[in-house]
Amino acid sequence: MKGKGIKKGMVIVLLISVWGFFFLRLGHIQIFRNGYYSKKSHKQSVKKIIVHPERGKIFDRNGKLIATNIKTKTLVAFPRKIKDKKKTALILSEHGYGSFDNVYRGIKRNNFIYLKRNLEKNPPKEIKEIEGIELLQDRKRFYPYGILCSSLIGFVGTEYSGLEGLEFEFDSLLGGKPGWSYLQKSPSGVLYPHPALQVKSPKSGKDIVLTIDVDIQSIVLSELEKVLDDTSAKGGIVIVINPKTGEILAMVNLPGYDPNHPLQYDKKLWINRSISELFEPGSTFKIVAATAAIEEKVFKLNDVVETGEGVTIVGRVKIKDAEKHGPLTFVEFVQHSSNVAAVKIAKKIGKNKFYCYERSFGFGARTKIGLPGEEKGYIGNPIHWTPLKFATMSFGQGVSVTALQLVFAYSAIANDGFLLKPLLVRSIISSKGDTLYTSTSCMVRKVMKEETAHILKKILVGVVNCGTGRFAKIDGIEIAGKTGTAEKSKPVIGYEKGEYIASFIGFLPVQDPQLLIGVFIDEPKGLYWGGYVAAPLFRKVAQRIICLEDYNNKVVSDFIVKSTKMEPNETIKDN
Amino acid sequence: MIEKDRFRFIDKQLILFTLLISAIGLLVIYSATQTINHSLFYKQIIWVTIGMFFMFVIIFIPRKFLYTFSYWIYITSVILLILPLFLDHSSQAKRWIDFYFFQFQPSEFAKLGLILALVALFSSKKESISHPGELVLPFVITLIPFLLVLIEPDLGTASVYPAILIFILFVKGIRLKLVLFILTPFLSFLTAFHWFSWFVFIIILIIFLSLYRQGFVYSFSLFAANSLVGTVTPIVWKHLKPYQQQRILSFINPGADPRGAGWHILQSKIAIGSGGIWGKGFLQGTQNKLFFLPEQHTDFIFSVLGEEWGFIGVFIVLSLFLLLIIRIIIIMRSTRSEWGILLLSGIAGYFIFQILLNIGMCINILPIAGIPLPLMSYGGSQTILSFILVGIALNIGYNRYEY
Repeated sequence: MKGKGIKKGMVIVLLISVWGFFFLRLGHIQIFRNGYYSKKSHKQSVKKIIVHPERGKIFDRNGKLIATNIKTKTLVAFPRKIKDKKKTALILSEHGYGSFDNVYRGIKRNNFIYLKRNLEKNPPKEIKEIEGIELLQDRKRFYPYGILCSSLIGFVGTEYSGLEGLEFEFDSLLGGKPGWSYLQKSPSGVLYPHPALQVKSPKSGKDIVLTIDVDIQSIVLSELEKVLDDTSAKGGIVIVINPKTGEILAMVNLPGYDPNHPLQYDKKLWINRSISELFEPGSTFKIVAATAAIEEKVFKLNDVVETGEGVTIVGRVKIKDAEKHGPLTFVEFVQHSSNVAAVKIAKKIGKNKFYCYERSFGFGARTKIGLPGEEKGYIGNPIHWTPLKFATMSFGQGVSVTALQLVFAYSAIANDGFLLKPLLVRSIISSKGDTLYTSTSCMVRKVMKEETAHILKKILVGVVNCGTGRFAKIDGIEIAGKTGTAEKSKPVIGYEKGEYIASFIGFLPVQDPQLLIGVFIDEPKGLYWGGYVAAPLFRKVAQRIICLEDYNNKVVSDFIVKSTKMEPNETIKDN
Repeated sequence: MIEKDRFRFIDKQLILFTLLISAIGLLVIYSATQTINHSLFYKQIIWVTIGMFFMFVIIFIPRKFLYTFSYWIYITSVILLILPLFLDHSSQAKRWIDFYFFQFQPSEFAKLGLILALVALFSSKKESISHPGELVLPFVITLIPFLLVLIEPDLGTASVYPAILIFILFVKGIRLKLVLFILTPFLSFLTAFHWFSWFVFIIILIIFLSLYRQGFVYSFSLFAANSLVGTVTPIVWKHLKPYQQQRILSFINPGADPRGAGWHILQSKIAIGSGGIWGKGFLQGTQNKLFFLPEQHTDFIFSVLGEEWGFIGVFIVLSLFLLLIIRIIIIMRSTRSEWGILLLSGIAGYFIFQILLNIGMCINILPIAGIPLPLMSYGGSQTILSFILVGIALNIGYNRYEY
């Protein structure tokens, strides 16, 4: 019995040491390694769900919806739950959800795949019944006007962030802030609401009201489309602004794309060419020389410039006019758009002053319209200008500008000498409906004296009444404008033969300008002059805009729309 | 007077620890069954009640009753083990006999039968066991339920029977020569999974035998037994069911197959580890509620305890178990009859082995055995058996001065 007593004591010691070992092990797991296991437990059982905020809507100035969000359905697959993968892939490919190989590979290799996002119609029952294939709620940015505002508004990617245009520029404003909630997740993937962890609700994005008028935008689009068809031109830009406020009423680039399906179009079409494409302006640029000459009192209105045979030689290059004009008064120089006269006038103004006026009009600097990809153009530095470059610059070759710059330069004339900043956003509205911001007109600088602007207006009226811009004329309204036919420069050096940009920029009514329209037609075939291609488009657009209720009484109270007939045999040329 | 005085022989502490453990067990089961089937909690209350009833009744039944019916109970339990093999052709695991409201698990009942039979067998011998021939019958008695349960198949429960035999043998007393006869084949079995380790073991055995000098017959038969186990084990391994192989392998390296068998161990460790010192709180265990833990109300009840009650809860429960076993050992010390002592050693062996194997599994220091934690896991047969065994221990203590 004594031996057994020792044995029992030993057993208790042994037991306590085994228990001690278990306590050590438990202490190691629960105290020493607690952080590690807690993290693991959290990671496998808690799922953070990002709650996407409602993206802000975009409205036109009259409250018409340009960009909004719609709820859609997305077809997804959880391949782990799919029993017969081959058969599933076969059924899916039969119903047009990709080729068999692609679908089968996708199902085989992933735990989750999108079969098709934002379905247009509900999938057939056969597919819905397959286990592991589900329809999920999704959302899609929807642009009700499609192509109408494409390059201006841009679009969003599948992850709902803005990729182009306004959507890109105001992405953080429109996008809002995402919220999140936590769910508990079982190993089989079943989700339960989490009892303890905090939920953060998303902040909706803010709505943006644009200065754009969808009605004007559609007028412009339809008219521009017609002209492009008639002239087989490569493209066209039309910008309509209110010269008194700087508000952009319409901005159309063609060819455009459908922002609902941007990937179906060439990436080059996504660019907003009104602000990103540089071109040599041609005769429309002659206002710089004209303004400088008047402001600096280099010429009086009735001073005569001798253009002689319509040829002048700068360096070794002959600069020609389209027609012989002989002696021209200053007013006639603009109306007939003589290059030779422009060269001679510019020479008298001098390089540096000419440069100052270029800058003053806003050339060579971004307008800060607030859109991505804006170019500033090129005018160079007068120190490096050769005499030839300076000479060509006077009639708008050898410089590069954007359509928007040119339009705003003309707005300075319409607006009694004040250059305004382009406005695109009219107001920003919170998701609750409070107005957070309202834009106001912003003057950039005074380009010229009021008298100078009046003189230029008169001259430009003359261009429309009896000069190169005759096809822009509308009976009963005084219109000022200028045509341009610029040779397109080659990518490296020199000019493309037979490739022109025909343009017309004008505003009306001259006494109290309400509309300023810039028309630019890229590479029209056949008759390519600005006065022939662009001016009639200006007239059609202007006529239709002033028929709109909002503009009718502003522009002219007793105006009755008449279709002015063009004389087909009349030819208009300009340089 | 005498009868009244004898009530002080009833070990109240043992009753207290038993009831405390099963009370904590009920609380944990309440939490563990919350997301699966809450009626299981109420069922468990019924099992505990029945168990307690048996426990208190058994204290007062005459010792002779148990002693006389030892072999009958054993034979009945073996028959009950055979029955499901014939009765149930539908399901794969033939572990239960289906009564209307209760699935009786004969393998639990067989533990009682085996303890009683072995103790009856050994207590009839006065001296400690010194001859291998004396071991034949106990081995056969153990082997019958072991094999019957093994083919169910339930490796974990089957391993309880030899463990009970070893505990009883240990207390009965056995010569080192014979211990080596039991121990070395087991070591051969363990090392045989890799030929080199077994080879090293056999070399050490040969050196040991040459120094031990117990005669040629003993040395040779020991060597032969080891060689037999060493060569048969790899062959048997190949014939084991894949899930059984998987369990053993996943014990060795649980990270290798995180979604397979190792998944259970990993999730159990995550549950216990994430509990920390104070636990996540009652009903707050995510591992438990979200079904990361397998069998959270039966085999892995300890992991639920560790997750929700933390180190504090685990410490309390493990300490209660230790106290319970120590109480049994203390009863053993004051018991005069060898029959009683051996019975208590079998009961202690049952508790020690099942507790260590179950908790060792949950904290990944022993393989997944799939056996319940006595007095805590859900299960009618298991709960009632544990109470019956405690009742027998109390009965022996109550009658401690009887021979």
